[in-house]
Amino acid sequence: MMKILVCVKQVPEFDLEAEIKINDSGQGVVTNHLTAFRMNRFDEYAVEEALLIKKSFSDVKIEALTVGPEDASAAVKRAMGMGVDHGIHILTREENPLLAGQVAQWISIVAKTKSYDLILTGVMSEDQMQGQVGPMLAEFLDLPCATSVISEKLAPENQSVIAEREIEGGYRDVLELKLPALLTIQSGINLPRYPSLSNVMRAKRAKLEIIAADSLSQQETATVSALDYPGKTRAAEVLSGSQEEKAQQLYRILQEKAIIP
Amino acid sequence: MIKKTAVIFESFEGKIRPPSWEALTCAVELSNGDTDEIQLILLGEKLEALAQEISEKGGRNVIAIETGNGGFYNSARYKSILTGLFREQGVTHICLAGTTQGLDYAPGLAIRMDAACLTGVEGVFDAGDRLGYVRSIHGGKIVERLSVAAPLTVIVTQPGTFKPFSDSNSAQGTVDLRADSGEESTIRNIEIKQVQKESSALAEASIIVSAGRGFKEEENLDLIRQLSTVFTKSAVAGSRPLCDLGWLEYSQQVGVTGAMVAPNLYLACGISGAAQHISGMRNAGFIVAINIDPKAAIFNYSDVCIVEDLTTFIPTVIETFEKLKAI
Repeated sequence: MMKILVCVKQVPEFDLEAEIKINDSGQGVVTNHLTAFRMNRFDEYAVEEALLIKKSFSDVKIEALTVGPEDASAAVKRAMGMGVDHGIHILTREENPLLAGQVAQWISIVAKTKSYDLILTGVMSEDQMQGQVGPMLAEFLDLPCATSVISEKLAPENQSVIAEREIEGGYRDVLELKLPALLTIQSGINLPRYPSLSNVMRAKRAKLEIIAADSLSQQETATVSALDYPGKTRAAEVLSGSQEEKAQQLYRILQEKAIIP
Repeated sequence: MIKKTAVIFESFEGKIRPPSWEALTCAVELSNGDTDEIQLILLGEKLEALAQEISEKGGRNVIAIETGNGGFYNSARYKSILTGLFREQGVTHICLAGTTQGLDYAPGLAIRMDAACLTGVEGVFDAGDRLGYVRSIHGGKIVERLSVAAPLTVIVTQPGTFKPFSDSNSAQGTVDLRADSGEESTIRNIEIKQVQKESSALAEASIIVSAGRGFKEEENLDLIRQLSTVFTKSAVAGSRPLCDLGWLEYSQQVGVTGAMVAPNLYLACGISGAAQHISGMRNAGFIVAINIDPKAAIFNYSDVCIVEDLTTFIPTVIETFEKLKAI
């Protein structure tokens, strides 16, 4: 049997209804009952890729794992709704910041006991935008790693996977990695499916495997973070008036700047 | 603390990748005048001429390591070579550009060397007894200032945020040419293949009209095409999510993984302004953003900001522009 692990993250979605605000400590953003949470979009591609592998090869088991406070389990449930077989939640305390190195280390401790053939993650998370947990996890587990993968083909007979990394300027870096391996999946590799009703019902009933992060290792605290709203790098002149007035102003501005005749 | 910083340069097809010069600027900004040392590192194949070039333009000593393996970048080999080199050199900071290659090996290198790692770094500052780093989070809506106390820090710069290094006064450094193919690797390089020609349309356009996730329906993209025809020498582009959906071609994508553009006018419609997109267009001559969300990050990078619903505002712009043109 081939075992695949997909790492997923629950991220807050801020929009017009739920504006983003920095909290009183200045170290995090305010989330409350108005904040919508969802699975990190990049992780959806990783889940879908695992499901496509399961469809092509017989005897594949897919597990999804997340790290975070209680509510984060929704991302694992969502993955199970898409068709993942089993869910694992490394439970952190609400006040713990999720530092990439720490998260990768926690996952590695759990993954070591499970002997996965392939580990998939999204290319980065939409909230922290670091792209670190995947390659760091590979390093902790001493696995070959390819990031930004836009095409993959398993060759179980060779115990390997052929991966194409998307690099700059329309090029791809084509590699063969020995299994077990870790791939971070780039968006656009597939079209992630919506959860199916039957899978969602199954996911609802399913019991997640919950592991307390504190039981794995202690949190590092060498990094101090302070949040701020971004400053403006240009004039950022806000036009006002009716739509037509704004369009007229824009026309004049572009004319003054000699951008249009 | 005296800092010893290594800057890892990257080359592709016999040329230095431009963001490597930005990583050098970052290293210079975080160093403290003459007491600190900056060492330039270059890995790859047939490096002599390139090593000369960066020792001249960078004005610092270069260690160039021929890595064999057909000149291919290989993360497993690179991590073993660099770990050996940095242990020998005793560095305190490592700077490199956040290209797809840099982001591929830097986090693993940091773990192997027990170092702190920061990606997407857009600026550095003095945080008293330690150094501070600035990066964007939450799609560019929040700026994070991190200060790190670690004996070794790996700093990966966000392309387009630091100025490319240039100093005509700097004396040429020395070149130390070495060879090391690293450990036997669990990764085998097969080939580098080109799947798509770089779009000349975007490079040649003086006006780029660009669409983002604010377009909820594919049909609405017709608006952006119509808007583009209002201008001469214009082209239609977009952010990555629209390309992933198949609504636009990847050759039309602006951003770190797409085209880096600098037209006279960049008209961003429904683009939120995540760092990966900003890197690709921040050097445009004039930037106008239209977004329904007044807090959209794109507005911080724009000359003119218009808070409007695209589906009704773009037709108004087209109509108004046509009317005023006719006068």
